[in-house]
Amino acid sequence: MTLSKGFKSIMDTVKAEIWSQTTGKVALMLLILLVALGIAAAIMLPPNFVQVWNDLKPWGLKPKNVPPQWASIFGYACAPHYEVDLRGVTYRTNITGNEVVIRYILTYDFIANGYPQGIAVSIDGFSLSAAQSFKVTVNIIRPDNVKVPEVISYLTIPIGMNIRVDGALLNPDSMKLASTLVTLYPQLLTIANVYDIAMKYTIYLFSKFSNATGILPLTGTYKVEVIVSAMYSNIPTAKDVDKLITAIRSSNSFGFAIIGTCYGALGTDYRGRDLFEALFFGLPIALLIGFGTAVATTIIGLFAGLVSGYYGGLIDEFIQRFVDVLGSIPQLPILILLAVAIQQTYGAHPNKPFIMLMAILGALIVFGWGGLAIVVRSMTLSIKSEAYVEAANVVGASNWWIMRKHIIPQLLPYIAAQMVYATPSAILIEAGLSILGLQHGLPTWGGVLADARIYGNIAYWWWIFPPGIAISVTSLTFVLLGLALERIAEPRLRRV
Amino acid sequence: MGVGTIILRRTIFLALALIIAVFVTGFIIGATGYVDNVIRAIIKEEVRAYRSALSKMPNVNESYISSVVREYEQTLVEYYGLNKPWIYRIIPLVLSTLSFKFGDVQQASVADVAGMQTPVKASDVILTCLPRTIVMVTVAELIAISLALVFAPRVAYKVGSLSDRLVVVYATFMNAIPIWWFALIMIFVFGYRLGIAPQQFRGVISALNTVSEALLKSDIAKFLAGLTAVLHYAWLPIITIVIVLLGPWLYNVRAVLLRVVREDFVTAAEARGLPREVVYQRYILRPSLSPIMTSALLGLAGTLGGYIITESVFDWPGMGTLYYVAISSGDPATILGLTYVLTLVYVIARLILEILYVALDPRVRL
Repeated sequence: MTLSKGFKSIMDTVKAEIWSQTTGKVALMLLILLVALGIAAAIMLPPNFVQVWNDLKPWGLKPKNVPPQWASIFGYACAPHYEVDLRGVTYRTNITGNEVVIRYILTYDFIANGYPQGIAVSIDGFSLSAAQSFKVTVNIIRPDNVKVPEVISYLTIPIGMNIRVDGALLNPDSMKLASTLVTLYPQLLTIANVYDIAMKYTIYLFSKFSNATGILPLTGTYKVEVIVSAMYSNIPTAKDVDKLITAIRSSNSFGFAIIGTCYGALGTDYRGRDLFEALFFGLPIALLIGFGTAVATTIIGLFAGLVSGYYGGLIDEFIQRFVDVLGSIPQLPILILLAVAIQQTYGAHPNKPFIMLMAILGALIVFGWGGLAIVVRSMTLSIKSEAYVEAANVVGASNWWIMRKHIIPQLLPYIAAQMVYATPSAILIEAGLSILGLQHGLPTWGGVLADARIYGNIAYWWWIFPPGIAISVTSLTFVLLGLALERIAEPRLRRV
Repeated sequence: MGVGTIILRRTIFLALALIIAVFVTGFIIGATGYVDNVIRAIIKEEVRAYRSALSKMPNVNESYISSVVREYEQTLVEYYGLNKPWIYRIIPLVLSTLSFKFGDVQQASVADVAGMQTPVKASDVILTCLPRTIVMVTVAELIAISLALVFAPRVAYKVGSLSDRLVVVYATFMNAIPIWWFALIMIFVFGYRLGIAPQQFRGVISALNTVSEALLKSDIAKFLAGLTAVLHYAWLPIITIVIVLLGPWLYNVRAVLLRVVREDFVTAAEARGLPREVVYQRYILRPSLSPIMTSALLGLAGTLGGYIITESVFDWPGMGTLYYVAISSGDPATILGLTYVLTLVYVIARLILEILYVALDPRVRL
């Protein structure tokens, strides 16, 4: 039987036996969807995703602990997140005195579905030489044409020859902003005191005030002026202007954000990380753990069972007792023990995620093959005594030929069932280990849930439901597939 | 082979499996060296405290302190056995554990799970945590099994009916959902949103203490009050576990019964016009009993170890949490003790089953 022919016959069986059942149809469609998404995620996975995910800096501008965008359907006050990467927008430059000034004009449409959380500028990996000082100022011009100056202002001087700004998250000085607002709108003081304004500055920055109505959201277009300037000791030249622009362009991050109260497809966690990314890129890892364990346990279980049942004698006794011992050892504690030991030994090792993942996989495989070995052994024993096997033996067929032609084909439903059941249980155990805090460092579904428990106090629905649903749907796919296969292996369970 | 020989043989192999399980655990603890790190940290801390106590004394010169501290450190290293390879520490501990002489708890966090202070035996800590797991996990599993035994036969008689399909769908979903995630959801909904369940579950310790005190004094009013307090904490975990476990249990009992219902001897009994009750009790229940009993007994034996992850989600101070804290803080005596006790319970359950098979199923005796 050639390989393509064998594949075709498997596909025919799948079509005739599994696709014909409703559960089988649902399972196969879910499986195809999961595998397709998994492959897509594996291709789209940025090479440094793990570092970025575990790094604090790049997430600075994202809102923290906020629900997804579509939460507004359920009446959640959702201020959209507005973020601009200043490295890629148009600007105007000019030189005033000894200063090079770069001016970005941004427009923000406020639709008054809840107030934003805050305003921030994030700068990382910025380096500028020869300048005497470096300044970032944000002014906001409200729809009523009042300019609120210096909402954010930041000034830094060189250390040595260079000005370096790393991992900076610039927020408004809220007391200063409050007094600016009070100066611009004296009537504010009859509504609130300065401390209130400072505490909730976004409310007042995006509102109109009158003694009669109090505070009402001021909708419309807000102009945001981001001014980046550098001071030099002499009159700057066009070259200095270019240098500042290059410095901005070549930084790791140079962005402005009006931080919303909703974000993305699945919301964010306590560090403002997009949960959708974790779930999406967690899929190939989950599938890898599931399939890896399933394939390995199936192969080991199949061959151990075959050898045990076919050859019998001492080796049979040995394999069966080995399975017995494995079956009596508590699996989860040993796994936890291994994970803790690796965490302690390789905690700071750069390959720790990989080492830990491999150790968990290895332990799952060691504990996983016993059940199949027992089933395969008992099936082999009964097939071995059939007349056609004896006949094949008499005409001189090799043991391997008999196993391949007569025994393994009859075991196929059980082999498939083992693969189908081992996959979700491996995924569930790996996720369970993460929940206990034994994380290998790759963003996995269990890891997200563990964070939701530790940092989110189980209080945010968008943080607990989606990862669990992802785990459950994946595992449901294989349970359904198992049900469909069970009906093939055990025809009596078929619906009458 | 006679019945006695079979059982004796199985006993020997199961005992061997038990001993190997404890040794494997001991080797993993020792060979990975993480317990050594923990001990080193303890010694360092004690030496530091000793030095600072000495330096507060008047009129002691620096070199004297150093020499005394060095001596003290040496005694500690010898006391904890760090001067010898790990084999010398683990093997005696494994052997004494196997002979039911559990070692001392070293970590304060492990004793804390039981609500005790550190100079304490691992066996005391384990015995304190056991009842807490029984009132939650074992009770929940018992409820799930009883419900399954009541409802599954009704469904198995009507394969393909609406209620049967509903059971299959329910079982399928519950097979796919991890209990600990469902626990998170239940805490979120009942603890945080509705506010009718506790958010912290450690209070069950004092509630259980009240119950046991009342039992000793046979004080009924106090006993009832304590029981109510225990239920206040336990109802959410129990319901959580029952909802999830009932699915697989219903499905399994149904599958076992289905296999028997389709047997020829059942059809023959029905054809003879025997009443349904008689057919069910004499022809269906008896052959189904041994597989159901197997999973029930092994399941119940398994509950004594607690559900490590689910207990940890509820922060329930039972066996599972104890196991986890012992492992994560590196407490060899407790880890080995728990592994030994739980494997022993499992092995005994297996043995009871072997004996029961012989008693229940005449075919084995042939």
